Amino acid sequence: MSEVFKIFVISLIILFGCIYGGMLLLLGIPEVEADVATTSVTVGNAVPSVSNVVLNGGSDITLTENTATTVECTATLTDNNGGSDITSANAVIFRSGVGSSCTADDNNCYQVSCVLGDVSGNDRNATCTAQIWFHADPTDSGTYASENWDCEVTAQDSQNATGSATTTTPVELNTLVALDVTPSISYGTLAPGQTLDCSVLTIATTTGNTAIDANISGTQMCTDYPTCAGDTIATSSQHYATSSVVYGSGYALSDTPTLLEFTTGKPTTHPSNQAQNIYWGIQIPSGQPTGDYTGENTFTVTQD
Amino acid sequence: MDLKKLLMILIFSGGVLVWRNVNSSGFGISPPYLKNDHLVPGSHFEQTITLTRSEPKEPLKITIQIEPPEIENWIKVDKGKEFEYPANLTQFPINFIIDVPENAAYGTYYGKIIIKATPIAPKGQVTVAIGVQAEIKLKVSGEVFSDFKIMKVSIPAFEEGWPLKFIVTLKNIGNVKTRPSKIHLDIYDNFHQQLLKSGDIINMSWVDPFKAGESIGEMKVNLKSGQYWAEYEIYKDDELKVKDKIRFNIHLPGTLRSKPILKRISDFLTASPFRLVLATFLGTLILVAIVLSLISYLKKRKSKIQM
Repeated sequence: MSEVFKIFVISLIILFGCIYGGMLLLLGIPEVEADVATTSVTVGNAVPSVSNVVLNGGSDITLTENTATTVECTATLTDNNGGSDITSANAVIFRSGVGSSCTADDNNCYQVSCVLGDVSGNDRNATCTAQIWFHADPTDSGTYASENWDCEVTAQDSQNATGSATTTTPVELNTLVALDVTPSISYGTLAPGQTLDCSVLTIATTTGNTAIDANISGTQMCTDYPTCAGDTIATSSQHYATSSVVYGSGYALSDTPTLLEFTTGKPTTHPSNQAQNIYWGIQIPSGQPTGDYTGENTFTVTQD
Repeated sequence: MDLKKLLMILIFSGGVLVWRNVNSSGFGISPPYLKNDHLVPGSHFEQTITLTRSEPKEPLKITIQIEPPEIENWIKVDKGKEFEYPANLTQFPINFIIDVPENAAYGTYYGKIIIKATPIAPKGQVTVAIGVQAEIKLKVSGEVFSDFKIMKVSIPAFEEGWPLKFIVTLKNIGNVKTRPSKIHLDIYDNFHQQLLKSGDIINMSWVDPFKAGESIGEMKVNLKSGQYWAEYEIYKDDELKVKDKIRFNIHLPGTLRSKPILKRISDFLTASPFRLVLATFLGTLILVAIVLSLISYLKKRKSKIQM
């Protein structure tokens, strides 16, 4: 048995040696050569370039009522000294009419810095995020209908050399019609036959990017709203006006929407600087049964 | 005021809620219109209107009213005409789907959509609901209209030997299917100095009427792995729509798609001479062990037969 084991070990060594030797022949034996040449070269700085600038994924921008909306501008930055040579990037997101050299303005010009992505050869992606406010100028219609929104991205390298590019596929910024209004009207406790002048204030604030008007309508008030099978107070018992006036000098509320021209315009700052006061009054008919009367009034907003 | 009169006021009081809510509630829509100037009888067209509010603390009941009845039947809303705007969403897109009847007369149809937002729970004596009106303008004619708006362009990374794929994401604003008629490409080296290849792509894929989608075309390039520049021109008929440049990457074969398991094992083992030697040694041991076991088994069997 020990002889068999010896033969086995020797065979194993020979087999392994043959296989390893064969593989070295197949793969090639690494060669090492001495290098005696000395070379030198001066690498100059390459100016970074910017390409594929895309604003909001190429889609039109839709804003959010009374607040800011996150909008991204992306680009590919390239530097022939290597992507790692790009040290920073910034972007201007702007309405085309004001140009990329615009002064920062939340209506038409947003200047932001960009976040750089991983280096890939000579390239580096940039993502530039802006918070666009609700009052930014729309370009889908109105005053700036012939314009659009662009993004210009500028890349900077370690030698402070810069390169920039602008979107070739600009987008529209959509009109936003929006209103923020006091959510309820409370007339308090009144006696039958009592009249309350138009003095209860609701504030209608424009929270979009265009001037608005409103169609005002309402329902009768009743003790079992919205069923209104019980006691009711007629819709026309409520009056409204754009200033505090005596009852009867305002407009009688109707279930048919009635246009109320707002004197306000497009907001230009945040919080909105366009608010319309509307004062409400009511007359309780004589003999009105006691109860808690509730109802619903509607402000239907239209673009001015 | 005598006591009797005061008592009467209290008895006949018309409301007891004196809660004054100093908060406000906002609501808006964007864009405030539903319009299309290039419809034909039988057209299918969809448009999104986004409902929005900055403080979505509680859900809202949304009701949609479309006027006049003449076109109401053409227009459907993906979420129906009554639904809930959920809490915690500052934007809530709804899709309006317009199907122009085959027998619709040519003309411009005007109307309005009233989108009303009401709190689920009433607020105070008189709840104030906000409605927003969107204008409708739908022009139906027999005219063929073909045009598109380019949204973005891309060349996805690909492997050596694969064709270059050029993708144009576009919005078809016409009433017939569309595509770029030609893409002209000039491909440069990594340093944007040497022109390596030039050519046209003419068989881009189609995008349906009034839809946004990708129009894709291919071109054989036969370039080694690396980074390249492509200068492109996108044409609609003879009109140059967009001219720009873009980076793209070509990778070594087999680096972008997953390989079969045997190929992956083979690649792993042959990645270095050490791994190859170790695998060969272990494989030889296993082979010899199997052979020895077989010899041992045969010997035992032979001795059993002899006994």
